[in-house]
Amino acid sequence: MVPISPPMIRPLINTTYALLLAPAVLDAPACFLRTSGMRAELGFPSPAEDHEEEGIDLNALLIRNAPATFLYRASGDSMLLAGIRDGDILAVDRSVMPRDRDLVLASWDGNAPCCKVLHVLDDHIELHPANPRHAPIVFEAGAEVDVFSIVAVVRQVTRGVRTYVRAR
Amino acid sequence: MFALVDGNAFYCSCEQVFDSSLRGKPLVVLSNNDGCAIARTDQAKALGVKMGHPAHELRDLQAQHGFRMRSANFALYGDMSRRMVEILREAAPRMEVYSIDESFLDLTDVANRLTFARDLRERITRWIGIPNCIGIGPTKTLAKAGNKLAKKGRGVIDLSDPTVRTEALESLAVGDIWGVGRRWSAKLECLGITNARQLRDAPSDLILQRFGVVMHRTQRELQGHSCIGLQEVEPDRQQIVVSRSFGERVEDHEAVAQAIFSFAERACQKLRARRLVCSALTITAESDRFRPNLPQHSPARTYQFTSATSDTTVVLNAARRLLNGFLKVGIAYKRAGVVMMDLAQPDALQADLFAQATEGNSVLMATMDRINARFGRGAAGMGATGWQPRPVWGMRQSNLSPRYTTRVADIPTARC
Repeated sequence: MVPISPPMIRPLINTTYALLLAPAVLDAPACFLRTSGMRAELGFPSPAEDHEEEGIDLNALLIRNAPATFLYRASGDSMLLAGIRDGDILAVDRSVMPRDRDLVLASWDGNAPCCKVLHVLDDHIELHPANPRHAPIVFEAGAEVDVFSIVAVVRQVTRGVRTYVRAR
Repeated sequence: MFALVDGNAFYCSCEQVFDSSLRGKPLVVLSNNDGCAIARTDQAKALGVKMGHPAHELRDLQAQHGFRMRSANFALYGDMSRRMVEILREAAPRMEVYSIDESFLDLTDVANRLTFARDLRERITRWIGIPNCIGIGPTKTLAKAGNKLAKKGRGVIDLSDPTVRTEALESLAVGDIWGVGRRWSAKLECLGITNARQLRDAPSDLILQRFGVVMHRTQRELQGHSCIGLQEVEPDRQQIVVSRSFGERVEDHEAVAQAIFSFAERACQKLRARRLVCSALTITAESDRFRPNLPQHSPARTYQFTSATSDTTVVLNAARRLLNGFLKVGIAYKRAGVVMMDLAQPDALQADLFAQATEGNSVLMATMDRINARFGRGAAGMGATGWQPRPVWGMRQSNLSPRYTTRVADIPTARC
């Protein structure tokens, strides 16, 4: 793996489009106490009782078709400019038909699968990296390639690691 | 109208989904303990690998042909099966899970069955990567027959049309009919009945008289009269068996006892998962039958509980009592097991004058089950099982693939 020069990744790190949606529920089964359950001890009804909601389930948010979705671990730096880092978890939904410019997981000739950007041309497909240090893979017309869409990238942010933050 | 959906060489296909280097190659999956072949791809079949082929013979064959072998990875197969069932249930809500890789669907309300089946087959292949075949027929036996014939290359076969059916049944050997074993097929062949059409058209009083009601029912089903309905709910099991061969002969009787305790613990978990209680426990042990020159000893003992239970502590206490003098000095054991019998739903039991209907601490057990569900099997348990990560009686699994879909550490890699 070739180390990346800092200017190239800086914009990636400095740019964030994150918006706060709501508190996330990561460990749903543990969360069985609901607000109305506390009423007796509090002495008066919770004003939020009529507005009770379940919280946001990350599985439901990221995964639309559970039986067809499989997780893969990203390894390598060729997709850095697409926001995929070494160690990220990729959710692959095999029921989604890949289109031109989709993030895809591809495998061919018995190789280990790889993550790239799909380019659909007139008579063949190409797999492009998102890093100028890597070259695109060009297939001949009629080559047999299994291509599946990536529908989510999951990364757990941990403290104390410099550049690469590894999801666990 | 029924359909039978069945994954081709299911265990092998599961391995091939995640290891593309195995695709299109001869591949054999071995049973627990790497004992014998339990699944093989067509390419392996062509090299002469049979179902139940003993592993030591396979190694010679492997030296000749160089095929790949995998230890059974039931965590993976179970998860892939669950995904397949989920897809099927969404497509056809009335269905019966017949085995880990086969399900019957009720297609009565489906207008265009052939298109439906072709789409479904395509969907399973695309969504989970498992190649499969579908047979359709007015009875379960005919759906199964259609599936058998679909395996020969067409993928989907609909036997609902009587003319198509007659021709198809002619090409199906009696031994390949659902419910006709090898013994029966030999007997049928003696009467000149060699294919399914001949069995269908044989005089039914002869079949009833010579082969009994079960064969007669199979004949009725071949004629298109549905006699076997869809079992949407799994019937209550009559017994739960947990038994296993050890990776090697075990002379240390403490270790054999720990194996029996572990199996009893596992059986209790299965019992509770089905919300059942048992009234009797049998423990078994076997020496190595394949070494007749060694001293042999294969004891079994049964304990009858005063009150039905699913509590691991109660069951382990019973097992401990049974183990007293159970194993013979100087014998090395190769296999052990537990059988739980007389299973019932706790509400269906009545207390008698001297004992309550059930005993045990259900709160403690429910807590333990929840801990194990959350932190993984084996997180909480009983000290009597020995609690070792790799006990001497453990399984031999020399070619085990990762648990790709059920363990975070085993997630497959995508090169970037």
